[in-house]
Amino acid sequence: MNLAKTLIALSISCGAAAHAQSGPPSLKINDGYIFQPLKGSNATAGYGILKNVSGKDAALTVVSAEGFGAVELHETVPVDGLMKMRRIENFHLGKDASFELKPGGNHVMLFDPTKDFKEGDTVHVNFKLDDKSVAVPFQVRLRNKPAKAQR
Amino acid sequence: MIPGFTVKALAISFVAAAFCSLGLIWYLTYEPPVGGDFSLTYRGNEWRLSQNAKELNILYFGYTKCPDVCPLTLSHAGQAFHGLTEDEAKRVHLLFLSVDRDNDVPEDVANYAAHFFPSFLGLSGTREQIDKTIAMYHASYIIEKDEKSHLGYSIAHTDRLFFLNNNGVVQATISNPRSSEEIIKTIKEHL
Repeated sequence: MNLAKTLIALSISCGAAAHAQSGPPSLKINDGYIFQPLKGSNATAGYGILKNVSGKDAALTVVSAEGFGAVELHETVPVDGLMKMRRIENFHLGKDASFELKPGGNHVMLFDPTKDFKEGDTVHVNFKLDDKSVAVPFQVRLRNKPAKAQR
Repeated sequence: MIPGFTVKALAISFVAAAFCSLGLIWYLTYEPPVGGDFSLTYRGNEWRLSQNAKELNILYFGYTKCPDVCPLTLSHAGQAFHGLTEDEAKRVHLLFLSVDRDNDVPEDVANYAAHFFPSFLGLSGTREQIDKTIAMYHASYIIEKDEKSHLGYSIAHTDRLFFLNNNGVVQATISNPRSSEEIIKTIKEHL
């Protein structure tokens, strides 16, 4: 089941990346997801495991995301007993290295949704790997699913 | 020396030493209760713990525009509540207090909290009420301007669930909750 989802995510990733640029994809994502924006908040976050397949070390920046007014890279860090979130200009991705975006750590922060999102919708997030543009798909996931139903 | 006096003096000394030792142990180990009653607002109406407390009350501090830590903790708490029996779920609720007085609208705070589980209450308050409650539980938050961010600010805050009895006194805490299992276990231990 997980293998099937991983393969689907990878194939979508390759397709989207190919859509955003000519030539082979430079960035792949495994299990990319964005939590459905919640009523009462204008912000949500995206996670997944990115892999730099550009053949060289590169700086990852984020440019835009379909259906959102703004998007940023953020990290969450403990500082003096408090959890602090701060904007990061770029993440360094080593050649062929994986980089995890995970809850409570590094993440893509998305602001001001311009439409309603349903579970399973795909949101293409547009990154730049150095100067090269690449779109990566994230699946919309529900926040409040009971544990038994959560993957 | 009078033998009787010596025995009496020794006995008094022994008793005094014992009291001193007990007092010292009490002094070194005593932890005053943390928490108490507090007053806030719910959807713009006055809300007081002592008038709304359940057998167990779980308190969390955060803000609705926090995209990562708050929803992560609240999601685990919501999942924990889904794991309770109907009777257990009636005896406990979660109180989410927004510390973002300037940007969080009380209606939004209430709707946001209820999204994670229907009985979760999203509470607001005046800056004074918020700070008084924060201080009562030895928690804290710092609002920092961040001109480079779309939001323009961020709030560093305590990421901890406080489990309170019906008087608001802390019975247990979980820092940085990252699973629902520990929350379920702690709820069941205190019901």
